[in-house]
Amino acid sequence: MSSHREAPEISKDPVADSTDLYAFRSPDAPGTVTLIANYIPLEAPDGGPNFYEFADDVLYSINIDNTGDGFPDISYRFRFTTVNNTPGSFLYNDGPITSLTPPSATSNWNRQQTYTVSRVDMPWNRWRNKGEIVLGSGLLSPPCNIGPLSTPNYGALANSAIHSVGAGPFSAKVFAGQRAEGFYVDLGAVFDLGNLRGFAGDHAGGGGPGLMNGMPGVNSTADVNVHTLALQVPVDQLTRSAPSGPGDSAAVIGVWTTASRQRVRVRKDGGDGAGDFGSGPWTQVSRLGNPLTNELLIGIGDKDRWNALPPTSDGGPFLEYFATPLLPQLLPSLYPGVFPNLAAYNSSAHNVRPDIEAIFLTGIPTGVITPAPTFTNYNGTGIKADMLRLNTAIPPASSPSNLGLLGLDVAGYPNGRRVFDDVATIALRAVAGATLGFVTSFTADGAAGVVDFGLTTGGADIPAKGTENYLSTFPYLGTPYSGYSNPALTPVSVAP
Amino acid sequence: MSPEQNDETAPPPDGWRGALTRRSFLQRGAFTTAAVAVASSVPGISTFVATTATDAPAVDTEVSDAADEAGPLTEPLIAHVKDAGTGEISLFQGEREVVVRSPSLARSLMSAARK
Repeated sequence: MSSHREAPEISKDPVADSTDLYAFRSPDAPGTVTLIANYIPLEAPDGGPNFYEFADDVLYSINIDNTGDGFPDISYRFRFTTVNNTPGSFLYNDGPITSLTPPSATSNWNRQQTYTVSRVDMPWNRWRNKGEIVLGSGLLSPPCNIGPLSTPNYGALANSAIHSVGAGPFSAKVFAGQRAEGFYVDLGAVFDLGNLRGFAGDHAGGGGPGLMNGMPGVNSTADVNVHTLALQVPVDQLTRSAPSGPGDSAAVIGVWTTASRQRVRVRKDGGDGAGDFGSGPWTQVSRLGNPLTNELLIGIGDKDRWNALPPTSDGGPFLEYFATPLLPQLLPSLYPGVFPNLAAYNSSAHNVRPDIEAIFLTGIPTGVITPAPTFTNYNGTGIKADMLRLNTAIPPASSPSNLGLLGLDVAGYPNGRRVFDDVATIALRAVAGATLGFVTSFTADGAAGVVDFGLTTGGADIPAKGTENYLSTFPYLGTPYSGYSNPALTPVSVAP
Repeated sequence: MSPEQNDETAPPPDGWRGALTRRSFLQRGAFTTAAVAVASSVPGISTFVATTATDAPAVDTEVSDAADEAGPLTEPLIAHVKDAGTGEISLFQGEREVVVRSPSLARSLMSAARK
């Protein structure tokens, strides 16, 4: 998955497990960038009575590098506080939740979260988090989408959890709460030795029982929810200076999200957690920039270490995973004869992948993408650090392609990432060699331009299979699936 | 921002390769060190620190400015004896970590923990 349960240790700590990160120019709010970081993978909509929530003991951050040095210049931080409004009740709610109000003993909603969002700017003298500016506190998160009796008119209820916050020169629109999963991929196919259903006949195991050549893909993340941290921020509050245009490196920001826990946690006897406390500095346990980096590139023995280290480590101990990734080496073996040019390149003396390094680590310099020669999201320094790089001077596309740059839509991934971008297919085609010819002498195999997961009908299929409920406005990810109507085996009389 | 200008994503004092994951933290704690929760409840510790001039804890230079940012005295303090031989002790309080080196303090804590 993009980054769901992608490393052994963090998979046991879902509240701190980042799943997806998005950064894009807001199509309906000119002059702003939307940043979205999702946590808590694969939430079953009916997973009560203790429905999903952020953790009080986790520091969630969305970080921005606007100087290209690989270190954060700005960090937006989220801290949560959870209360039991009616501790004697075993239910999530004792009646319908029809409006968002501050925690109260008279509330129908028993288990409620509020949060603080702050901004930290990091010039040299801001060591140790001095200078943290609180943009908003006591902000209300919405409940999970329980069902039509508990959370009627959920869309309006969740909309009331969109807050406008600000302090001094800084402002933002913010939302923190449950959303429908927007990422789509065929996990069953990926993890069954790359057995892509539409191409199974070409697989090395083709012809065996159970292989379904020509079948459409299965969206493994359909009908599940995630927890979303979303910000919409004016562009000029994210860039280091006003860019002169899309070719100016000042227009490019690098974005990544981190979750941190304090070094020490002491548990009190009695088990209710009330006396537990954390102590010591915050230490990073989860990281996410580009989709699929930790999932597909980093070795299993290094995955949790990758999560714990900063993006600049990608130019050091992790560089080999980007320079000579394993997946492109495996593809010709999994699909014999389908990728002959890639196989030949792999066996050559100079088989590094500068295209993968550019996409994931530095951004793409001007002139590299020959069909879109003016495009760039290069960081301006060449410092290698895995981040989602967005050229903020490129406006939203009027006719977007879910294949992003591969579909010659320069407003899409890997120029930032929009909620509907088919990042799994883009990454698959890239590792298969579709982007290698832009940076070295190489002719991509025909299969590299067509291989996919079978979840869309093409680049223009924005509401991909199983993700039909994207929103056209902030926070863009759809209304979460309700527990009453999902899994879909239950009668679906109430959408979504 | 340069590496030494820290927040939770910047390098720890002992460098990235030495950074502790939660798992390695627990492993190190289990096999090579002792972690002792210390508050005013450990007899003699505060007196020991204050009066043993010849073995005054050497405060790690990279965190030496933490003293003026220390949390309230009522906030719990956790001591992690990383290496009893060298006396390297991490003190956690609030969101701070201070590293001191004092073999005798380490011995005293280890002794107190066995009582």
